[in-house]
Amino acid sequence: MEISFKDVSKNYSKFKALDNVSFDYNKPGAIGYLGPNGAGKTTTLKVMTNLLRPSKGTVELNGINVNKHPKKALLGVGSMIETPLPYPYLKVSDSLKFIGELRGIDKSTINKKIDEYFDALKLPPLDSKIGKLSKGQRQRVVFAAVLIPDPDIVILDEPTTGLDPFERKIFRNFILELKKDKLVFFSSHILSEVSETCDDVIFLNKGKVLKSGKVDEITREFNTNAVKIEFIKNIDDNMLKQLKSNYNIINVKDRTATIKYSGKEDERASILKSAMEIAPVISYESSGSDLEEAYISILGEK
Amino acid sequence: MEKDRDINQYAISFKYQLLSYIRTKRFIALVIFSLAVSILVTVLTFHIEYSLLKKENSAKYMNSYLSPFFIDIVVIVAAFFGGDLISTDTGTNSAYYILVQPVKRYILFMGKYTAALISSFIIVFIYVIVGYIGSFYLYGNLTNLVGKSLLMTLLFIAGTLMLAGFFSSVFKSSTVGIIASILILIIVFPVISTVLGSLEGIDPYFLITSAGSAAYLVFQKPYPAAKVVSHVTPHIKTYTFNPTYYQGIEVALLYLIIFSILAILIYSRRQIEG
Repeated sequence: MEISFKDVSKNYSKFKALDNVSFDYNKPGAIGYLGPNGAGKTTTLKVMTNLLRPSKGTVELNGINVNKHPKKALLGVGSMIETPLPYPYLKVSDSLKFIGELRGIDKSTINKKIDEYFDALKLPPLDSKIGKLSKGQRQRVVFAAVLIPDPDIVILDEPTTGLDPFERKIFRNFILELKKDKLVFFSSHILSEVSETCDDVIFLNKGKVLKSGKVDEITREFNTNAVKIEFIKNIDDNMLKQLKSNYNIINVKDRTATIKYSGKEDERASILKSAMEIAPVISYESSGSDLEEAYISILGEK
Repeated sequence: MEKDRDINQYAISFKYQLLSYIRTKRFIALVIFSLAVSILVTVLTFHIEYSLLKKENSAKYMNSYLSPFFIDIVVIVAAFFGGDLISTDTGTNSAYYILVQPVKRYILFMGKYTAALISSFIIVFIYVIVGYIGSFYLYGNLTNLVGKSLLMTLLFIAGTLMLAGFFSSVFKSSTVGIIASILILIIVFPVISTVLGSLEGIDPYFLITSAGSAAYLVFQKPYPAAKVVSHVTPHIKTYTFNPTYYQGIEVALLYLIIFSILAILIYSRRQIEG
């Protein structure tokens, strides 16, 4: 399984939607594709699935150029881009059978998988027409269609946007399960979801890849481990001097000081001990590093 | 045998598209429309000309039954089924369900087109079959020219549907594709035919709406002359052109071939920008 982008650009007349995007993933796992609205995330996924042709560069899925040989390249790929709409007059079961049969799967296998996903994805009644379903129900039907062919590569475009918490949970659990033996590439706005499910992450803005790497490495790099200490009285110059002499103060307001640290428990204990020597402490709160801080640092700068 | 071969995928595309078409409100509405027009024409003809009709024969009856509305029915049906043939895939979110599958787009298109052709033929055939019933009722038989007429009917629908399918590849919106097809086939083509044919004396044989009339002209004995000149006054002449049967077939086939190539080229190259 492999997704490979080599110097891919996509232009719409003068507007550069993608600018020399390159990455390569070839192992099971989940890759989060992050960026603000208009960053070029959906364009990337469309180029990846041959819905758009790149202006420059090559896109390969499992070693096959998707824009030159789309049928071969898309064989091992399941994708859910934007909000796909199966033909509205088809029933749920027909929509799923349609995709299964197109991909050459036995009818008995298709039926077995439909039964399996009916429960696992809480699909709507199989004889209901697609046009009558809610967005969440339709997304689940489309997700089932993505999974029925058992693809190596799963491409998802903000799969949980606009879904209720129950539906989000279904998707999240599925991604965690899928990434064990498949390559899952998905764009998302929900950073907690990405940090919870992804192994790798790519940050994109204005069509350019700004940063990519392992989720834990990036969050460590943009370390935001901090302790917030509330003293019994307002912090005066003397207290501030003592704090600054030993620690990296991020913020001071009234009687609260926020101190950045490495994240090690020993250091946290030492900060608390020192603070209590300066003045009585009435409350204490620690925050860990997260992807959100990395997101803001990387994308906020640009 | 690999199950994802092009021919299998064509059959699957056809099967599910047909399933989708026959469940649409448009299919049901057009069936009712075709049935209503055919019954109305039959009832009125029987009521006004029953004694005259009884003296005629099956071929003459079929010609007079089909000639008033046959072209219009084919054009309306083809516009409704062909006018959004491609735009439902490229202009709606169905693109994200269908076009990301490992299937060649022309295979998908051919499956869809065949389903649209059969759906259209069913509706037009309803109109035609009421004529057959009328003929049986009046004469107890049916002219042996129905085979030739049906072949022309099928080709006429196929060519017109492909023309509408071409419009659906040009326009992103399904509604615009359908409206453009109806306007061009019902208004523009007849106006060109009248101006060129009746007034200028130029044979509008290249218009598919003109070619389609061979489907009922075939019932006339003898087959009408290709060009009829009428003198309205000593100085003013009008012309009536009738396509020959084989001319009708050729034109319908040409529309089918030319517009299928164009539609497939556009569909295959179309990018989904959203």
